[in-house]
Amino acid sequence: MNENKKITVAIAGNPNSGKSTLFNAFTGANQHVGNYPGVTVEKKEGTRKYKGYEITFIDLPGTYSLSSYSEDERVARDFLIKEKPDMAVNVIDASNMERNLYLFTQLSELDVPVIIALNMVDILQAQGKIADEKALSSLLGVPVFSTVGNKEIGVGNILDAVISCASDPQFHGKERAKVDYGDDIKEETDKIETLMFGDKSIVDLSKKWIPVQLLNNDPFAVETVSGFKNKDAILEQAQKSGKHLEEHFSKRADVIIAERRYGFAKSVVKTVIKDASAKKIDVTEIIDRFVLNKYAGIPVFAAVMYAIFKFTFAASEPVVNLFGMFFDKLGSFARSLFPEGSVQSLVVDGIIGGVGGVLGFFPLVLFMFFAIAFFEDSGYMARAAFVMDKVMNKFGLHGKSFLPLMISTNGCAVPGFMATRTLDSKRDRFITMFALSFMICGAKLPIFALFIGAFFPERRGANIMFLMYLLSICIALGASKLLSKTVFKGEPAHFVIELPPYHLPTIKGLLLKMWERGWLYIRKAGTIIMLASVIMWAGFAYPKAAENPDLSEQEYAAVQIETSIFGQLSKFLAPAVKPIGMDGSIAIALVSGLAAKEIVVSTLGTIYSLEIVDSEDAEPLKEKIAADPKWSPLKAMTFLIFCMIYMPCFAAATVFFRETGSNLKWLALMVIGNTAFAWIAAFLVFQIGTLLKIGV
Amino acid sequence: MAQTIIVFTAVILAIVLLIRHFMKNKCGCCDNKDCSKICRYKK
Repeated sequence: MNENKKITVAIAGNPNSGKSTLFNAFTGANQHVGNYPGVTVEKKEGTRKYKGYEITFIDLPGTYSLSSYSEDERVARDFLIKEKPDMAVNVIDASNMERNLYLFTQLSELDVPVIIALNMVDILQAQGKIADEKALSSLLGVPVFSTVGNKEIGVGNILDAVISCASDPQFHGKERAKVDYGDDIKEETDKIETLMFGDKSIVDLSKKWIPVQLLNNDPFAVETVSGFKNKDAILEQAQKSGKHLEEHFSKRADVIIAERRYGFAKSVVKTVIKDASAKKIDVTEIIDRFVLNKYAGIPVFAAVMYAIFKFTFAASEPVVNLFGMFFDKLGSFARSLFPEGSVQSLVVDGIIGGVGGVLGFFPLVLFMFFAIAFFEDSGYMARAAFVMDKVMNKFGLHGKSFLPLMISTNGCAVPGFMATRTLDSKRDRFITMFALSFMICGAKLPIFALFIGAFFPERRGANIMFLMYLLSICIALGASKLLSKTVFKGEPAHFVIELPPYHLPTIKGLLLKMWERGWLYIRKAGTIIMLASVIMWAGFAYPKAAENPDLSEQEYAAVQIETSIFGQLSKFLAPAVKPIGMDGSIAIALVSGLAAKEIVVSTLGTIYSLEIVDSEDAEPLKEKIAADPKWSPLKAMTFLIFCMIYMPCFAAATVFFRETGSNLKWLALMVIGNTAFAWIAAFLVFQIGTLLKIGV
Repeated sequence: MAQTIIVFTAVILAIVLLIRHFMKNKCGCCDNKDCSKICRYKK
């Protein structure tokens, strides 16, 4: 088992049981992420050197059972059966013990040597209950230790137990508690087991597990048996037994088995969970009574979203201004550093003007990520999905669509498209993918922040931003409704979501999450946005206009932009965007945004930087735009609506194409449909606004 | 002249690197951690 003192431990548990937190506590930074061969399930592995042993931990995917119903379940089961770790640490959420023990019943039937980490006992205590770990250990026949993963309580006990179990020759063969399925089921499983007797292939698997899983209609069990000598007889018996049980109980065999497993779990919970003397208030229940209320749920969700925007704008404003000033000063400094000419313009107007325009909003993005991480980590986002399920259903979307929509809103549409894989029906997936192409992703955020900052300053900024987000949600819902009534007819599938107990997020956790997402923003600015800025700059700076001594520097800069390649190109695009109140150079910025949406801002930064010829004139981009007479609040609003709806960037479009089965029809519908819709919406807003003289 | 060469090299380099960036990411995606994981699975 421990040759060279090496131990392999699989960590198994339900989603949200705190499995990954414990894995992190066990392994610290010594971990790496890979994948299980041939599947899209993440494989996390980490090592820990402890008391002379090298313990390798494998964080299995979070699953509720070990059947073959999902890829995660298959991966977890295959790892336990084929890779044969020395033992498994079964992480059980103490506050949800009944449901969590269901997995244990299967681990036990598979004869996997198990240690139980009874996690989140602090939450159980907060509910006014305590768990008797000794009683649990003696009932289940496995070592049990209480843990609080996020405070690293009990981690040492588990590590000690891993070592002592690994050194105990009796540990592997020890009898662990198994579910008593009753005489009727046992009689049937015995019949199957007898037929399997003597087959060598069964050596690797528990003889108890296969018959039960055959009655459970588990494809893995059927597949395993098909390699046996008397496979036909076994499968025939399994079918007969299933039929017999169904007639006897008037229920399907798999339902009876699940009931017995839950019955076992229930009786264990009844024995080991005790009410503490002084019952504490269950905070989760109290909050949920309000948050999940039929009438209050949606207003609470809206209030949370509003609070996120209010916090983001209010808290970040001074820092954003400081960042803006910093890049202006940096521009002026660079201008003084280089001699006047092309290199100076490339550095100041192209790189600093472009990248600075995007990086100027870095604090805003950080604050937004922080606020969203707070609600994610607290457990509220699962409630939001639950509350929104009803609304989403009305618009032809599935409750599970909420997660991809949120991923897209909080970061990027690419992982959003990927996340739609969690939706089971093709119809639900496709509608969700179309819907999320309208959401305001993290890359569009700087565009909105720039124009809202320029034309709707002070307190109104957060309100306008919130309204824009609401508008994007309404457009996404409207498009979903339209698609569900036309292209993708049908009803969304049912939705089940687990509501984890509320936690007070840790500052470290929030900062880590904020930084992880924020770092991506900086990386993108330093790579793709910087490269694109250089190209955009060259497009507006070349070819050079003929020198004209009659023109002032300012006038010459305008002529230069007109003469440039993009200036010429913009003349072609101008007629298409004129009805929506924009000129050709804005159209160029919109086209450049197809490489990445932040590039809309960096291109505008470059254009405005090229127009400013005196370093003394340097001011933040939003002030330059606010002072430019060709813009107005109405034009800004029209521009934002266009940006909200028009086709996503190339990266997102590529992923959309692949995730919709590489069918050009869907890509064309999204690219042409979204852009045409964006133009019509912008046209209506601009023309009606002009007619009514709103914000002109 | 020197300035023109520097600028020309920078622009060509930017174009090459940008194309390389998109070619390198087979799934055509950004540097997002979530999708680079998925890119890895795809290989």
